[in-house]
Amino acid sequence: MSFASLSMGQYVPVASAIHALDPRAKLLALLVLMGVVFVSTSPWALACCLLLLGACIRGAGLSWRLVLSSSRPILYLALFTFVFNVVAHFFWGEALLSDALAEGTFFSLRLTILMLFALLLPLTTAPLELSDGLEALLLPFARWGVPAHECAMMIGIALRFIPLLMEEMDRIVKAQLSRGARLDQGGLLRRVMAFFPILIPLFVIIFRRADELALAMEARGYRGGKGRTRRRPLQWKKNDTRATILVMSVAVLFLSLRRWLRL
Amino acid sequence: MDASPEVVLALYKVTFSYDGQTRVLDEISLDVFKGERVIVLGRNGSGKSTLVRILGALQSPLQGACFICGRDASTYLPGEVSRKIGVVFQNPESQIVASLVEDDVAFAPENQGYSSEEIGRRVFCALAQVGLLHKRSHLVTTLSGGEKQRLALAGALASEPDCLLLDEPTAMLDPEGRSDVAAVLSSLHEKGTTILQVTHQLEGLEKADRVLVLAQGRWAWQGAPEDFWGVAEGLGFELPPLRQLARRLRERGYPLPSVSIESVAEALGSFPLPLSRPQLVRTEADRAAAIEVEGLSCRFNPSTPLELLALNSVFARFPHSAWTSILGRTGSGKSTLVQHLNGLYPIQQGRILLDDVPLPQKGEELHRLRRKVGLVFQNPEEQLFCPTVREELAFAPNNLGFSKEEIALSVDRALEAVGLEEDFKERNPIRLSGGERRLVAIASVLSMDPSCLILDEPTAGLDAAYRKRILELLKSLKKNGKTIITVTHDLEMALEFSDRLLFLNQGRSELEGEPQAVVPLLIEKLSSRVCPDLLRVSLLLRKSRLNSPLFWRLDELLLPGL
Repeated sequence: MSFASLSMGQYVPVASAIHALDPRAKLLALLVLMGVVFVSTSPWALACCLLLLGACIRGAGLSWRLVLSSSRPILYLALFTFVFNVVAHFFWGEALLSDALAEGTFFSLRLTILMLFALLLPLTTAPLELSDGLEALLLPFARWGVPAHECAMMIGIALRFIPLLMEEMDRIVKAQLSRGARLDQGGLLRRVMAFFPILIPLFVIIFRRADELALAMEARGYRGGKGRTRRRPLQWKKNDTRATILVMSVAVLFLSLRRWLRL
Repeated sequence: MDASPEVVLALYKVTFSYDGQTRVLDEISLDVFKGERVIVLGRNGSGKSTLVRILGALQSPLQGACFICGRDASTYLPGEVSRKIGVVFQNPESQIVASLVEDDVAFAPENQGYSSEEIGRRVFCALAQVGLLHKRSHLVTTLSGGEKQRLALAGALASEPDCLLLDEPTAMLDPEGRSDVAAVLSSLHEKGTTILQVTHQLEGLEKADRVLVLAQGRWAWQGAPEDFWGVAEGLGFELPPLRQLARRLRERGYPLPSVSIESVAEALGSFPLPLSRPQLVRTEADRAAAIEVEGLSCRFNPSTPLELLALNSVFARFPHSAWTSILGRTGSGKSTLVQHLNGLYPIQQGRILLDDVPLPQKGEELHRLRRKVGLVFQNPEEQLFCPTVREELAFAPNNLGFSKEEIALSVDRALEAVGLEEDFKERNPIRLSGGERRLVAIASVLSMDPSCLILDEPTAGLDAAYRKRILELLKSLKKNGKTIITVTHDLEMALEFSDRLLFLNQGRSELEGEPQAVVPLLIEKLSSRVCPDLLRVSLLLRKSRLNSPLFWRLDELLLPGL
């Protein structure tokens, strides 16, 4: 058993209003909300986004703590953005330190909010549901050759297997370390070379897993999307319409406020 | 012909080969009747998995034919076979498609195009049959190994197949998980499900109606399970300890009508005391500790909702040149503990002494530690990455900065230690058999010549022959002065070979010491279904003879002739 930390975006099954929404509604809402964050260029607008995010987390029956602990890589990325912005503005842009700090905070916060919105989707939606929703939304594009079912199945399987592969990688890294592998020494070339003892076994494992999975899926009668039915067919309920309208109105309100109040 | 039972699965002179030269299956024929439970036994690499693929119509034979419910398998439409035959593979992880229990069980009926009501009904029935109904809305990642394999079984049952095809379904599970899966299989069989199970383990063989032994692609033997025991050793299988004991009793002239725990205990009870040689008092107390663990605690994901106390103030002592077995259920902290000994985790609390010196925590000294304490991971063959065995064995010494001559010497020594011939040096590890790769992986750690060797589940997934070979290897390493530590689920192995036992439970070191001292306490902590047969015999024996010893080894047993 491995006790690798909660991998990013792992589904948290809780009974909540947001969990119960149709994945299509959630996907659409995500697109809209990410758009809203994208156009937020002032601190006030960003504060509104933060409030929105808080409301979503509350609505999903999750806590800030849980969301943040399952998004460590995002936080590192935000930290990097912060440092980069400060350095860029202060040292190269010759801005005042206070301005540079403010700028850095703003950009890293915006990035974090954006990513956390995106993260809420897999946190509140079972992978298979998510891929079903994606498939349904992509289906109109199938006539132009977009492989809707295949894309959705791929994402569903990736979501299921990423945590497993992280565990495998963790194990291989430890195994090679205990054989005296040095991952932290030497020049660039040597460091890159040092990863071969990890990458080669990992690829062998991935290929073998893929092979086994394909066989198991075939044994259970999988032959692509044709003729496949659903245990829980996606059902657009009243709440989904309500949620979509709510999100749309919030977005319109936000955009109008931004325009009129020049936020 | 009317009276003959229906044939669910049939093979007619099936031949198969991957490379067109070596025949993995060689003109094999087989009939599986409705309601029958058939076990196909074979050693690693005997063609068992290929047999499963062909029977499940996942692979077509080169020659011959496979009939499923009376129809040639090649005439089935894609996906149609899945309604007739459910297949469960060895590794539960790589056959579970969805992240939620219910969603995964629904996968097959969804593919078969049933209505959502029908799918719901099938999911419910399948989960009820394997006893997982209470976990239906759980995440797959929160299930134990045994539960995952039962989930895989439910996934196969959801298409309501005529026959279940199982490829080593319990090989990767701990004893509790194995016993749960075995119980589910027995109840399915009682309700009339046809089962064909392919395995290399002799556990649960009595439950079969028929046993077939596959060797080099042909049937080496077939018959009833009770007749198998007489020929088992000739076919390269190792008798389970209870059977070995029964055979010795019979050799001594004791008529044993049947082999069961009760009958063997009764037979032993009729022998005069003493049953066991007086145990030599081991000089273990004077023996210095190679490694000492004092109050070691380890917390994962501190201050998050997933916080887990993996090790909770563990105390342990690993004496020089002794073999210590670490026992405990999956998730009890065994692997975390041994990885600490190798410096793979920084110590959070407590301390570890290596030859009375605190374990180095970083830098060059930590690096040098790896030379002293070698760690062989679970399924170590998966870490092999070099094109030749020689380079694989040279990897660790090279990392530790050995000179060229030293490297060549240590490669030779390690290869010799694990008993592989010279010509293995230039072979590609990928092309070796599973057992040979395990030996190469162990050699790749031995090439550092560590004074202490730790192995995590060294015999898992190996057949009897390689299991024996690895255990002999560890025994001889111990004799040559190495300190051996094994982490294992295999209680029988631990009792037979180790000088000391350490039992972990939920991150705590609950019991520690020599087997004689630990076993009586250990028995109270184990559920009776995972208790090894020999212990159950002695427990029963002690009911009539209070002073008979609880723990003895087969080879220590003195049986006077009648």
